[in-house]
Amino acid sequence: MAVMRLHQTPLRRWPVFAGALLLACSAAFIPATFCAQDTVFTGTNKGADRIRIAPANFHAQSGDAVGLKQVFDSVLESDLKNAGVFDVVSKSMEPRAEPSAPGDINLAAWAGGNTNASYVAFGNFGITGGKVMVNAYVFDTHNAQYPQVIGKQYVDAASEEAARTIAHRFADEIILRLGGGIPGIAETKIYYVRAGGGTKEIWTMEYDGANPHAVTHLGTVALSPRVSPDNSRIAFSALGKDGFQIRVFSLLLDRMVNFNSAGGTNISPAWSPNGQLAWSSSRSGDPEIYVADASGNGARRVTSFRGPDSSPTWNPKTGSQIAWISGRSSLPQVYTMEADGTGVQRMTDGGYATSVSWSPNGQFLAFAWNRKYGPGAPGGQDIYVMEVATKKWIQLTNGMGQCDFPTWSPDGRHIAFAVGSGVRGQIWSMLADGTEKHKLVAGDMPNWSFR
Amino acid sequence: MPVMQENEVEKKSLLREFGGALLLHVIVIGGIALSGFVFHQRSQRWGENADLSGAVQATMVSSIPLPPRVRPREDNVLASEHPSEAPPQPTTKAEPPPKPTDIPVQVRQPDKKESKRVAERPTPETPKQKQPPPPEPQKATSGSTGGVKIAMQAMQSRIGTSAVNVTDQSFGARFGYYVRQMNQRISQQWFTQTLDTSAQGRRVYLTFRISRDGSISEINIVKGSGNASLDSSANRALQRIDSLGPLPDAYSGSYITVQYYFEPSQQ
Amino acid sequence: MIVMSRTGRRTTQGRMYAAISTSIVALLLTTGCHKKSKAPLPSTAPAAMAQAPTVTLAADPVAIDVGQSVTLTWRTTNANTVSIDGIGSVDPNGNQTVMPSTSTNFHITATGDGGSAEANVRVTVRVPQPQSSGSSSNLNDMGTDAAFHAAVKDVFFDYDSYDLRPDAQSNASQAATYLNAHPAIKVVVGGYCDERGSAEYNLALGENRANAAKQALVSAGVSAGRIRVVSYGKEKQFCTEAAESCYQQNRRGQFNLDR
Repeated sequence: MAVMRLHQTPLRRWPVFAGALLLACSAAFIPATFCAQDTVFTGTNKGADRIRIAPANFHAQSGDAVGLKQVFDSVLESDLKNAGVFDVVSKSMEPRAEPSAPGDINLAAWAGGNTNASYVAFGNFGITGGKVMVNAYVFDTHNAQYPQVIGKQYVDAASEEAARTIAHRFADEIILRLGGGIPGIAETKIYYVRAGGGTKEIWTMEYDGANPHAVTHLGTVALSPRVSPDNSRIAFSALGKDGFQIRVFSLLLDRMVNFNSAGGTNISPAWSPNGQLAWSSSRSGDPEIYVADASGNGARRVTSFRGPDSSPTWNPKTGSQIAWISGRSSLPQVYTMEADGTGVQRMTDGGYATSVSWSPNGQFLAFAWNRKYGPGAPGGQDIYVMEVATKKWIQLTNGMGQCDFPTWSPDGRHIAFAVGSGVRGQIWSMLADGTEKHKLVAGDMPNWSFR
Repeated sequence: MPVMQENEVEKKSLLREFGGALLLHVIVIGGIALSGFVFHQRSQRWGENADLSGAVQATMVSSIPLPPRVRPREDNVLASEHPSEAPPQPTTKAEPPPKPTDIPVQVRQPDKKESKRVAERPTPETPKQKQPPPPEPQKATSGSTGGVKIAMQAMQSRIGTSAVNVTDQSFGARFGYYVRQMNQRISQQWFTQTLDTSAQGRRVYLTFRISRDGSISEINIVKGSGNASLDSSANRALQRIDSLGPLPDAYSGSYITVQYYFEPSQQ
Repeated sequence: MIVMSRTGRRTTQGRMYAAISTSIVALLLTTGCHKKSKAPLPSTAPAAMAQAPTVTLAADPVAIDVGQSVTLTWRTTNANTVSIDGIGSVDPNGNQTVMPSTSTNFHITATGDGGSAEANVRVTVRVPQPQSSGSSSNLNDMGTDAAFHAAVKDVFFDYDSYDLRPDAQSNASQAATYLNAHPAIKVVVGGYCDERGSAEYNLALGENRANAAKQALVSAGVSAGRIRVVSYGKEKQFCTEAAESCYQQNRRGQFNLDR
């Protein structure tokens, strides 16, 4: 092996930096002079570059496989693009070949020219006896001797849903192997609130907005869905005769299961990584954060501040800290504490901050913040991310409308959030540095599954 | 006399008109200066507004596991293309079929209905590759490159230069992609903002072990850089990483030992 | 010779004049352009300084039995368009006879060049008592919704606050007087918030508002066991416009009979 010598002169680096700076300026709608005066870092603009991968069109083994194969091709391409770690080669830049098996592929054609790919994903897609069989490969174009990175065979029913699932599985495998060991999210789900006809129900969809459908049919106002770490239950709050109460729906039993609320208004549940629930209960007359098991038993109070305390979120990494929203000093602010109520720290320095969500690696809080909140104040409510250790923050949305309820994807690379609320609400997704925003569905209060 | 008078009248009117011209000039120049001042004031207020919006402030997002949005330059992220010796053939028959449960998850309670539906297994053994020889890299060969045969994959990024070597010599050749993604992931976790300026150009060498599941252990600084901030940032970068990804299925060992160096670039 | 030289001088001076005046004209033109761009401002200024519209709305009488009618009378100034919710566009000044079947908030909006103004009037409709309480005393009398609402007024809150204002304090003490005189009545206090802010937090804030109203009743001698509290946050709105008058309607602790 030889050490490769890499020449990257400052001259070549400069345009990239300048471009990033320009992007930061225009994205934030602020005058260029402001950027010039301040040192602007563009977040992830350091470290290594994105991995360039070319998803080849798979080879259909028979004519009847073409339709499903096209679904598979497009889902795989979109999953790789959504992953946030790849520079995905556009199909128009790829060689015309449809390599079917490892013997067919000419790696040099994929490594060179406009394709310029480091890796190629390819394979074949066949239907035999009502089953789909996919042989899928990823090859390293720079390793002629041992090019194979992944070789997998997937068998499933011949349906569109199965073709999507296989594409998700394969994409997640690629992301795990090439993306730094962080599992992909192509098979994750987002739970959310959908308003209509005077009621709000809990809905679910795939992470990319596909296949949205209702989970609950309670005919009331259901809010704040939170899926358990094992994907077996959804906790939420719903309006009944005694006001809002925590309800739990079992996804395995497909029905409501018991939750012991013990009086007062009970809202905003949050699962710890080991299956405990924290939520806001006013059983004592003032809304406070309580922690109990998944059935609401053994509840213990962890906050005691006059004023509203709501919207807890656990540190998913440790399971021993809670961030939440407290209005004890007038306008709501983000606070953190140990799960036993000690070590309270205020995180935001003013404005109106709500809907906090803790990142999977435990290092960041995402929340909705209106920094200039007040009667007649023009300030918008936007999504911010704050580093817990330093309280440094960045703004991720700007001028999109009222943004709220950020939720982290399990890989920590994405954030879904709500824009607007009620029947006009929309759910959007973006990378965790605020780029690549796109709308998913109509809805509100998204919650990304733990895995 | 009449001529003189006329001349005087003319002189007077000339003076008046000249004075008028002067006055107009002063007004015009003053007006321009004033408008400049006014516009300056206004732009100041815009700037203040922008400041209020506080759009861009922080530096810490590097540990969001995202790479930067710059097109990669393949000529910059090269890996070893000249294996120093022929590596042993991989023991393919020992390759166990991977199951979905092989991927570590935070809470183990698989959704049976979902995970079992798609049958997954490695593809049957594929015929040996018959690839055309790769083109010679189009890079400038200076004297120092050719002779040195350190088995390290160097990578340069905006924060500096890093290099990785897996002590199992065959690993790097067989699983180049793994070494590459490992190097990339560590670079992403390296916070160079905390380094003091004297760290530039220094190099810290460390070793660590990656277990089957991708977790890191036995982090050792084998040769310090002489700069405390750089040495401690190396430790912290590795400690921030939960997993570098499971070792390749085809690798039979239970762990690999990695030698790594990092040298921050001039910023 | 003199004449010659003079004319000679005059020509030179003439040229200088020409040059100077040209440059002045040019400069004037440039600055003139600038002035012209600002010229329209004064013409728009009067519009911007137009008087803000005013509006008053009155109902006579303010409380009726079912089937009776009420005359709404309104007066506006500086308004171009005037409308009453449920009635539509109306003359700037006028009156209208209405026959509401339930207690109704009439809401008038006047819009003019100087902005808009709004006013409300509540007409209470007394629904006939379903069963006569006969000779029984107040002790077992649940009373009627109309009587309850005539005596027990909702309390309103400041923006993002759950502290009772003086007007809310007096409403609460009136309510307490009525409740102390009718010990059979149980009451449910609803906590409401305006549409701004975050839904989850507003549920907690609404809870605090309802509890503040409850505490005011309790400290005025009403047994806590008679009072139930429900927070609706911003999930149920009395008024759905994005205007402060509307927000104020929604920042409320609402008293209802708990049957």
